[in-house]
Amino acid sequence: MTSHVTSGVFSGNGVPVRPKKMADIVAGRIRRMIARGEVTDGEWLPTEPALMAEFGVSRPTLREAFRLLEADSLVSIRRGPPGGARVTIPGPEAAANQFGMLLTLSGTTLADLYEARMTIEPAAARAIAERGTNADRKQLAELLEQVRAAADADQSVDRMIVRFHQSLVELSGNKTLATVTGMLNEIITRHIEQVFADTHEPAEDVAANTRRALRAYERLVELVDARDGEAAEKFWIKHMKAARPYVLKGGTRGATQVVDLLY
Amino acid sequence: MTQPAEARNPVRPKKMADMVADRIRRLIARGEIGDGEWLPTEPALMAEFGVSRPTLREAFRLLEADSLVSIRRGPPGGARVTVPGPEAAANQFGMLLTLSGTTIADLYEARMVIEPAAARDLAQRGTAAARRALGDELETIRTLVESAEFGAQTVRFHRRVVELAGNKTLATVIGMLSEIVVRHLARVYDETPNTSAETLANNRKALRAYEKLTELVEARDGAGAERFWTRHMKAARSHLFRGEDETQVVDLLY
Repeated sequence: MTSHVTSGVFSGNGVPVRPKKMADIVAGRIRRMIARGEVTDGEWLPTEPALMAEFGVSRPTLREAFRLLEADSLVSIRRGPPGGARVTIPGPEAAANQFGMLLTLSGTTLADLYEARMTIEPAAARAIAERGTNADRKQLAELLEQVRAAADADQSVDRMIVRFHQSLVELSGNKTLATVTGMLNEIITRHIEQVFADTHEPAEDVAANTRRALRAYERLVELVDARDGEAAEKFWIKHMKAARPYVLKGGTRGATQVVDLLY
Repeated sequence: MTQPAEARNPVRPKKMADMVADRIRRLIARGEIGDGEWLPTEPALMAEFGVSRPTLREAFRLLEADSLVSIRRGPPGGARVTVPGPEAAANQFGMLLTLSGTTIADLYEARMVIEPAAARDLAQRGTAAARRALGDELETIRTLVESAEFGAQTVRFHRRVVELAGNKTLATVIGMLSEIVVRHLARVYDETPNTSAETLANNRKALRAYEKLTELVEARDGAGAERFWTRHMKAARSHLFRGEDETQVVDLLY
């Protein structure tokens, strides 16, 4: 697998190379400061005059750079005097827009997206059972209690269910997959909110589904506590298959395209 | 930090340029303007959206930052749609990984969850055309075993396995991860001569693994393909990292 590799090998889609504009360079410098933790979440960047002097650029160029960073959800801009930009560390939902555009352009359906989660989550269930710390397993059990408390209080559990699935991947310890799942769940959440906003399901159906989900989470927590990775993985596949019709329901079911959610 | 406190995420009215960018984004998302097509002229768009030239250009810049258009400056000017590949999202995705301190080893482990499952799916459910396409990839890479391009081709072969397995979401994810891996390889192997006997031997070893996977896929042996691809990726890992597995994504992208 070794050899000399040139970067941008997949970029041959006819985008002409042009010299970077000054604003791109300034945005790149600030992006780097954020990436390296030199300015952190919630902190204000230096004042406009200070940055103009530091980078040797005009105010319009600096503001263009701010706009580019704002489009990436990396800063929020306060307009008018004194003005300025503050760092806002984005969550996966920030990348969900750009990622969602890619899925849209390739005509991805919700069923496809759910299937992707079915590759990632059962492996995560296995990883927590096999390699998770006591704290990880305790946290999963606490999430279960939160879902149960919401269900007992007859509150909507949809968001908590998404959170349980998300936490499962986060607790498994792989940050890359946690970020991917965060983006996917952002898209799934938008779907669920859309579907459930315009369907009025009989309360007893909702309650039955909630109880079924709760039983599944209880079982998973048991298997994780027993450190039975293989059974946890198998069980989570079974649960996700069973839950699929419920998650993908709506007029067009799984054939709904991501485009219909985001654009 | 001397600024007065304010709401954490203040709601502010969307700027005109954001709205114009959204409208154009929607046109692209819905396929009303295809890849490579020029948007209408600036005067036409200014009239359609009822905005000034600076606002329109700001919208163009935002779309350009998303790799959705490329801008031609100077007369006659204008913007052309460029449908991005996963590498476009790799920057933003890479920033998220960077900010959470993700290492290349973590990223590789994520690939080890996705790719063997894809190998299984391709073997079990792949169409004849998809399986043939993997065979074509193998033939391409075979001709490059002594070439400097081989490393890039290995990343491509791995990516193709996922694409051919048919799940578009995972294909997009792997596309982004591949872009990051390519940058990592470029950095690690930049100083290493690529025609050494060791490299050549490794290239041949990788090629044999691809031959084996292609065989298992053609035999529709899903379980075998999954097991073998896991084994191959584990074996390749030590070699790929050379003790640099604590390298953070931050070191690659910024």
